[in-house]
Amino acid sequence: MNLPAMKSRESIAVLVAAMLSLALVTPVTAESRADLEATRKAARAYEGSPPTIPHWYDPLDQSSCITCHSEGLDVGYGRPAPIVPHPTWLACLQCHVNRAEPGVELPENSLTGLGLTSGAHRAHSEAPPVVPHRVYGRDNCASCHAGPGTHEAIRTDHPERQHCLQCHVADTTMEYHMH
Amino acid sequence: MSRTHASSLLVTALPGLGGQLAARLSGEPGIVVTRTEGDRIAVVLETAAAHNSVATYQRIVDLQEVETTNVAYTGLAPEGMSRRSFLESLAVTTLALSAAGGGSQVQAAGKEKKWIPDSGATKWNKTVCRFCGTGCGVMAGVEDGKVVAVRGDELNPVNKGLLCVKGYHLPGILYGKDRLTTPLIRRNGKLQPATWDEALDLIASKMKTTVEKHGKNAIGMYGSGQWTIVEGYAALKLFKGGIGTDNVEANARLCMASAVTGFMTTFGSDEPMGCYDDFEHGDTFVLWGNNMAEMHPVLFSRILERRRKSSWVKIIDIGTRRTRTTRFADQYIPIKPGTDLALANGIAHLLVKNDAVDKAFVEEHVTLKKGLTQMGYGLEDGYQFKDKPESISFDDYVAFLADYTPEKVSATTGIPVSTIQELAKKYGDKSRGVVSLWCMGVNQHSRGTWMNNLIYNLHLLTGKISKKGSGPLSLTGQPSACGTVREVGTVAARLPADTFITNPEHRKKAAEIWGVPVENIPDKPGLHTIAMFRALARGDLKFVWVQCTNPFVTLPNQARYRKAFESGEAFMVVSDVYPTETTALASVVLPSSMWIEKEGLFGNTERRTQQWNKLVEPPGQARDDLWQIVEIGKRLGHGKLFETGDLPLHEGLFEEYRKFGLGIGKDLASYSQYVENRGLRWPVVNGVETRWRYREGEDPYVAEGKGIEFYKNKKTGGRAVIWARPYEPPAEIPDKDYPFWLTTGRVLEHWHTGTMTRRVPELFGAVDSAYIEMNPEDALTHGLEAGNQVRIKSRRGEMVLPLKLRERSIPEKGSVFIPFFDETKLVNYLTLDSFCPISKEPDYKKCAVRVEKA
Repeated sequence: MNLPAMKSRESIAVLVAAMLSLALVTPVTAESRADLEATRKAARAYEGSPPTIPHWYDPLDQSSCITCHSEGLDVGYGRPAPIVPHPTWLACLQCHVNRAEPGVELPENSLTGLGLTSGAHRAHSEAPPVVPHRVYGRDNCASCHAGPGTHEAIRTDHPERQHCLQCHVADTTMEYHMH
Repeated sequence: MSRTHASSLLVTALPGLGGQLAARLSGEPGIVVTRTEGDRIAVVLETAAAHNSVATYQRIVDLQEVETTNVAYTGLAPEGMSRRSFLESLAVTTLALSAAGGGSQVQAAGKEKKWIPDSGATKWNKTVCRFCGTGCGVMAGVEDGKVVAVRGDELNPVNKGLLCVKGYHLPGILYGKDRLTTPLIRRNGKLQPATWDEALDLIASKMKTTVEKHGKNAIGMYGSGQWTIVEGYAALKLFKGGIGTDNVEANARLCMASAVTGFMTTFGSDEPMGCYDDFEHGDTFVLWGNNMAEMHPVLFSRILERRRKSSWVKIIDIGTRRTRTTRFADQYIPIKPGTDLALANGIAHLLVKNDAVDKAFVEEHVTLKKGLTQMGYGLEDGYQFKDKPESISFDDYVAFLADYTPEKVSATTGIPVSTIQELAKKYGDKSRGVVSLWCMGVNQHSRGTWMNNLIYNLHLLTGKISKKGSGPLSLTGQPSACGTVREVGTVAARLPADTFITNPEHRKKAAEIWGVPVENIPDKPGLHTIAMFRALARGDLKFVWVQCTNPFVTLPNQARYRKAFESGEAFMVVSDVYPTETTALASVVLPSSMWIEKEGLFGNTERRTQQWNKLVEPPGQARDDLWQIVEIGKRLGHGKLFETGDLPLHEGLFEEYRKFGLGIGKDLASYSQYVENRGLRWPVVNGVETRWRYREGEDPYVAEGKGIEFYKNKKTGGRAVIWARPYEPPAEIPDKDYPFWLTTGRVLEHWHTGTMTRRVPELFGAVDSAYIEMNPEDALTHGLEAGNQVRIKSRRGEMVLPLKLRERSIPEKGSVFIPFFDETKLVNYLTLDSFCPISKEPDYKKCAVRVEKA
């Protein structure tokens, strides 16, 4: 691992972010952030682990997941299907599993999971925030930040600008540092 | 018949308005079924495509009596299920689920999920997944001395950043509530806390007195492919080099032994010639009894990615049940259990007949042999078998294949003649690379060695071997079945790097490396796993130390082996991380460290050796298995075996171990190299790994101009062996009294006996219990319905399990499937302990049972 090279990439990222400081983001309230965390926690062991499936699916039908999740089908108010952020991965059930049957008592486990970041880094108050998570497996930004079912706390106010990484650059400190 | 597509919706009415709303809904166009219970109404819509139902949903939501709506299900009716019963069942189940909490996860009181905000202080380090044999690279995030997250290692060429659901839930395996944190000694029939000194002194004195009274061979060690390389090496050295008994075995006998004997008999050296790079270059992938989508999901995703980018790529699934793999496959070929031997010979027959044999390849690189047949099934105590190989000519082989015409093979296997011909064409097609893949279906087979040989035959006949995108690839089930058990040799008769205790030269080499008198090393093979536990049951073996495995879940025909503990004479030490069915029978339990609570190395399926550092402390007094072995060694007067001079213990033992493989095609890199990289595939010569063994330009051991050379097969002058091995039926076949085949296996979410995965809420919740799967038609004729409690009986035992129909997998008619991960429901009371006479690996895939409503 070439650490100095990584550092220079990081400083370029910050510089680029500063230069392209065009976007404004709606401030996130404490309530909506808490709600975001609760929503994500319900489906995950920690941030970055694949969410569990909160509904039935047809175990014999390979296309049953993408029927709703490829385009984000609005299946009723309050229940839009989130768009898959990694459309080329085909074996959905490799990572996403159903939740426990009602009434099943789960084993006690004291894992403390890594949660959301406390906020994205900005070079200055007007600068576009740097992407505060890994981009791997999240090729489609819209699936969490613009599409149906996205949480208001992380919803973009400028979905019409489709080239997200033009202004929001990946935070290289998220990637492969060996400590 | 076209299949119905429908959606079901759970609608909750405003308090007291349930009846009124139900009446309104039943008049809505598009709604076929409604079912009401108080204020909750299940609504089912039939839709040509789900999109068409959106308008109906919105009309429902807009009704003024509605409080909430939730989509419960959208999808096609299962094959063969009528439209009406599908729609009705959707309504019924939607209501039933909602009544019990709407399918949400129930966490017991006081078990709130805890998260800490990501402040950027998490330290990330490389490690390796400790579940299956794939060897995925994992980055572990540690904060305040605890693992808080993992992610796939993008820099690791094995998985390129992706994991499976088990890998993503690795952090939880460390934090189950009932981790073993203190040594336990059985006193007055109960396991009670003790100090390490008490426990270790007791074990050492028991070992000493047993050896004095009953001889060295009255004690044994039983580990697994979950041992790190250095742990396995230390166990081997203590028992074979210090104490002087060959009784060192491992769970890999139950899982990989047929692969080993297959490799040894065909190529004279264990482990694959090909590697995972074949996934990006192959054209036809043939899966022999292998549910790769669940068992090796990350590798299967590499194949899916290959096919996504290359439309000509085909996946062929040969199996006895329709699995998740089948649903991705281009072709599914159902086959009668155990008849794969006939199919492989049938393909060979056609390759010869169709002139698809690569004659130059066979001429230069192959020799032919036959062995003994009618070997029996190893069921009786003291069963012995030794093969007597005999050379044959190619004409002899062709004559042997005459019995495997497509018509005869079709009658045996149940596969249509045209399908057999098509498969032979795929193997023979010179324009396509063929990769054969298999795991337990072929290995846990009463003729497992033969079946491994027969798959190699197909690749040797066509020259499609050790070639980019073409070759046989035997998959492994444990993280270091290859690195530890097979390379270190922690099984009876073996020494490291393909050497044997029966060979005086090999013993001499080991004695020199170990600095022990050569007489210390036993020259007679010890007990293989089944023989070891039969000896324990008979009382011939008095002491066994089990590390990192769970034999009293995994041994077949459990009742036969549990007899060992009836007299109270057998002394079993168990090192583990959680209480198991095996610790429950132990005399002493030692609490172990696991995964990144210790440093280690694993060797995966494709010969890749990978290292990781210790990243967190184990809980309580738990200590790693290596420390335990060394401490016992010291107490037995063998402490010198573990002195490593200036080097730290791990590095020192590894550097010593790798002397065994240097210069003989089993070369490993130095410890410090593995610390730096994401693993290397052996042989590693001058720091460079080998992708395709035996191939000139790839493998440095192949002489210039040879093209390909099976140089490890000294006996045959560097040729691989094509074996004439016939079809023989399994030990037990369904009959009038026991009319069904029973196959056992795993599910994606759980690993091995569930000791770790059943401690993780997400994985436990996904599959919370063992179950029985059967073909819906068989269920119908037996008057059984999904969800029924079903009694399953074999000649050895019986159990009751819930019935699943049309869910994860659908067995072919006449067979049933039960997973073995659930220690509260042990299918191994039913299984038969027949084994492959050459590999001694039991057949968990074929015995006879009957089923009835409980």
